[in-house]
Amino acid sequence: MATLEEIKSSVRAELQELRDTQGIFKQVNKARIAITDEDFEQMILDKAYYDFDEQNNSYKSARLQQYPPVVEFMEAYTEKEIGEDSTKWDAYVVKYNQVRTDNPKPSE
Amino acid sequence: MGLKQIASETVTSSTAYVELIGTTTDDCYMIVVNGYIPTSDAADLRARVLESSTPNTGTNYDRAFMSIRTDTTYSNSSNTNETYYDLTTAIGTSTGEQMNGIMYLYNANDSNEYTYLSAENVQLSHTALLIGNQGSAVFTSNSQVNGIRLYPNTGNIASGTFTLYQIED
Repeated sequence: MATLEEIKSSVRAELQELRDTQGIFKQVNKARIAITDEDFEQMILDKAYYDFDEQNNSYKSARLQQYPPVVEFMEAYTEKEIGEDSTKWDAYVVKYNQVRTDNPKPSE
Repeated sequence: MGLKQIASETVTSSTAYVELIGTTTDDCYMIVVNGYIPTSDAADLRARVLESSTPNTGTNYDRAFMSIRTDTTYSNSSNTNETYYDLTTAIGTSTGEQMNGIMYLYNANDSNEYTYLSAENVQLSHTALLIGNQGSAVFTSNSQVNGIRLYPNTGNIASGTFTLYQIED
């Protein structure tokens, strides 16, 4: 995995090329103007932190979005514990494990 | 009571930032975002307050949002001490995918108060999923805010109209 400093370096190169070839602009007071050097430095920081967070943590939000609904969990768990029927629970476990397999931690 | 347009920016080509300047009275202000589309798929829309037209990048932003979704149950998200307001989640760039919304700013001009924000918006995310976001945020610094900067968390703004209104007493 890349360190934050490595990501900052690659982001700087990427954005500098964009600034040199196409320009980077902001819109204010109905005018489209080139961003300042201060804006550019902040843009590098913002994108580097975003990319670093994506690298390390995007699996968490992906898992959250893909886990089966909570209602499905409640029904499966209740039927297993109270109704002694594990059919839905077994199906839930398969879905749950598939989500984790599809979205592994970066270290896995 | 009425709405007075203070600033409006329409983006039609790749733009890094939009700045709406003019929260110069103690009234509440309304920001309307219409047809925001990022250049990068799955990009959020973020905001920072402007002080003397300069963005504050300190760790002064707290937020609490609820996302109501068509695919599953709602989800809550919250953060404290961030360096920006995060207003949406993962907006798409395919046909029909965009974000529209309204935000209200309170106490912006008052240097003795925090600047509060409430927001509700509707979006089709990058998987064409309908999400309604409802939430609130606060800029935890007693300072005079004269506007707001809007920008994506990655890439640029491809298009959209962003308008600041003063809600006059």
